[in-house]
Amino acid sequence: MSHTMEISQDLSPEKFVLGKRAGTWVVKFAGIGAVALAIALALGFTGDEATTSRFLHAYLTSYMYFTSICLGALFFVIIMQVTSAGWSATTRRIAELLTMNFPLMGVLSLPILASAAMGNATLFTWVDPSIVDNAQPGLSHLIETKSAYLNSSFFIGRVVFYFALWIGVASWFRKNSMAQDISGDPILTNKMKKFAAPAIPLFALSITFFALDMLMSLDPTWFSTIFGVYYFAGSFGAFMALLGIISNKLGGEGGILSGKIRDEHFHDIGKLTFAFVMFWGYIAFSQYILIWYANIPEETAWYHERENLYWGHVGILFVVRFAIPFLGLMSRHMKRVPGRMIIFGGWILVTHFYDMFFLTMPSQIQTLGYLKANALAEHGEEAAAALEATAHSFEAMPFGALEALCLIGIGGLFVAGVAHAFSKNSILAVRDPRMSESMTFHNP
Amino acid sequence: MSSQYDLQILQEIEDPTIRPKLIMGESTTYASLDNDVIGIIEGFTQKTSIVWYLMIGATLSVLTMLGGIVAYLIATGVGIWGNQSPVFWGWPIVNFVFWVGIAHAGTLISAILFLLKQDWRTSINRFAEAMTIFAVCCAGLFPGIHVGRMWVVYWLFPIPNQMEMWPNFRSPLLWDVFAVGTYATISLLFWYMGLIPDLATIRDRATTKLRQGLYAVFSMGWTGSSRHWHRYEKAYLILAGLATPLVLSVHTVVSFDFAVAQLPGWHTTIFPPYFVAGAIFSGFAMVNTLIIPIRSIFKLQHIVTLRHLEVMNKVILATGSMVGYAYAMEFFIAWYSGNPYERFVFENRAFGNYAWAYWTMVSCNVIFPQLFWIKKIRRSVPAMLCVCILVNVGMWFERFVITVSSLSRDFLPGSWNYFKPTVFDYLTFLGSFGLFFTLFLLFVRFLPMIAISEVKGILYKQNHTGH
Repeated sequence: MSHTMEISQDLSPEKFVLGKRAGTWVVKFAGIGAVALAIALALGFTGDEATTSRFLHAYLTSYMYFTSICLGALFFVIIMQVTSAGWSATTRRIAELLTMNFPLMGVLSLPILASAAMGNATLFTWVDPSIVDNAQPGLSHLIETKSAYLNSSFFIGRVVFYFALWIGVASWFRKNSMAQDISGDPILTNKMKKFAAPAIPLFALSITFFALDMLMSLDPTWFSTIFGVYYFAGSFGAFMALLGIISNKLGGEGGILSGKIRDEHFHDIGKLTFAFVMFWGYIAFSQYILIWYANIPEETAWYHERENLYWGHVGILFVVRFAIPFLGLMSRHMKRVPGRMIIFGGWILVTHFYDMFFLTMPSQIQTLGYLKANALAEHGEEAAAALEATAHSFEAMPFGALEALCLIGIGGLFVAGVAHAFSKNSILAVRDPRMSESMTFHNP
Repeated sequence: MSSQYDLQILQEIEDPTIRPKLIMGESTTYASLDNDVIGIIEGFTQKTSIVWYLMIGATLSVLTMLGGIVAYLIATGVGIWGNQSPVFWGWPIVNFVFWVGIAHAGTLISAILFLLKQDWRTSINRFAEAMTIFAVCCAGLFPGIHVGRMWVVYWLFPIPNQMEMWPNFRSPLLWDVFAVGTYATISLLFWYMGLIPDLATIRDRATTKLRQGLYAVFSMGWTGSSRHWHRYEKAYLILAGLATPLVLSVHTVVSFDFAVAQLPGWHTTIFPPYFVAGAIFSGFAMVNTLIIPIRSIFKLQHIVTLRHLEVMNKVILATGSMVGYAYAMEFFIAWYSGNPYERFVFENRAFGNYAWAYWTMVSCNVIFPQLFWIKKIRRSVPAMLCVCILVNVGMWFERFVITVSSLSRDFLPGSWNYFKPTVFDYLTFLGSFGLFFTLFLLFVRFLPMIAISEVKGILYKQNHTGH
């Protein structure tokens, strides 16, 4: 295996630390993000109840979007280890570094956890089921039957547990992988493979209940057994799209990983992205058709908000998130030619945000209905009309300042986190035993 | 049942710096592969012939019995089965879903694993694809005879007719006709196309005129020229691309048969991926159940090594865990929904009058496959054979639990009833095994069980990458 030796000699981890090139991004993006988030928080918590509700929904949208990318990255790390994948050895470190954002996302969950802790039912109505009764007498009873699961303290405990788990698993893999940069010990690969197998069920259960807690419980009367798979499918697809973009940037002409990440990697990443575009389409279609076909009111209510009340999103989402990238990525050229993946990678990242928006924002309508009914009962018609006015301005402008600020705020901090990770660490797992395989394989 | 190669491969698996060999044996060459695989067909000695004739005699008798039962069924009506109000979907549907599920391994191995560049698939893909086709045959039998008036079974298809009568396009049962029909067609094409180069090899080695002539017809003039190979490989890739969504679509549509209904226990959104995972689970278990004795009887342990079996077991563990995830989600969401009917159905499954079937299913599908976490069990041939057989049993019970337990206690307690199968239910199911194993024995006798041309490609790679 003299070939391997030659390759590994010119690879030292220091060569692949981006340093200042990424370092300048950290301050810039962290600054922009912090300012945007501060403004959003100030606006969100000083307005009336309808504004708070809107802010929290907007915040959750962006929050679930960026967390999903970290989760996709973690899954990539686990699955590449458990399958002893050779092709991905040169790109795996990028995923490992992306998972360094888990602590950031954990901290950013604070406004959501705080709303639950303070009993503010403008995001999760189950926090205070009594708020629904003025709108639909007796409905609180249905929500209360779930209180063993849907209660603030258990909810907060679960979220803390998920993040502890993800941070623990992600840093364990990163630590071992980075230790291999120094020692080159192949036994570490076996060790990671061994731990990757039990990490899969842990990951599957945690991402499922995370999606149930954060998104499905927005409408506590609605339920769907496929929901966890839905969130996972979108998350992994979005991560693969991002990996496609980053790989093309770093591995393209003049990039620091040029020659390490090659056309073959663009192609394989493109294929996996394509597969998960299809998988998302499959899961989204399955959920929709079964609920549509059986036509049971307690299930269709959720789609009713998204289809009839809120600009016919179901169809648009299916076209932009599935049909267009499906047709686009079918071409070998699109996946393989350097730089091309950026087009559909970007498209998928935008439409994945749309998906998160679709899952989160329409629930606001229901919450606003409850708030209006309460205002009417407790403060009279004037208060209800005031809320109605705020709400009306929202419907006319579905993506407004609050949504944009939350996206820029959380996104800015997320990018700063990634840039920080890239500026301090080698972005190539230089002494992975399968490095030479990854640098020489060919797609048929 | 294990062999010298099994011990050797275990050492190679542990080293991450090399890719372990797929084909074992120092003296394995292209010629020896031909001898090992085609030799089985050519060299049936008197002794093996007698065993084979005895076995096919037994399976043919069972198949004949099936023919008799079907004739009696047509003459009498579906009342000979245990299907009774409110359980109108009894064993025939259970058996149908059971066999369709088993049919999933072949295409997964030949299409999805091909796209994922999993070279280990070459040692088992032919075998698994053949099993797929035979299982589809068994599956197709049940809806055909369940319609009652079998002589108008062609009404299932949308054939233009003077009565202007069409099947209901909104019914998932019609989608099934298309889904299973497409699947059977593509699987057969895929399998047959893969066979062509190997059939040509048999033709070229043939010593009798009859054999030469027959295999010449079926190998369609294959010469092995580079132009032939070029087109073959193109076609293979396209078929693999087309077959991949089919692996998901078939069992998805089968799951729709249940899930579009409003019946608690049937209507749940996780059914499509859950059914697909279950199908792959049962298909892989069936492949292992059959290939373990076959590889030792015909001395193919250097081609189908312990490593292949272990990888299959890992897939069984993964898909079995997915099935367990789906069971758990169904239970959790039934509780979470707060819907009393949903909650009742799942309580009834676990503690009601079908609890025995439910716990058989859970033990076989969720508990026993978890033993594959343990390396020793995953790599022990007798142990894996036991687990794989249990998985097959468990997957039959899964369909039984879904179909029967939900129907027998529906919304109206006044119509509740306990389903009892009749002797004809048992015999029809047994008969389908007669069909399956007859086809299987014919395959073993007349066709190459290993995709020799593909394995040769692997052997070339293996010998030219510096092991």
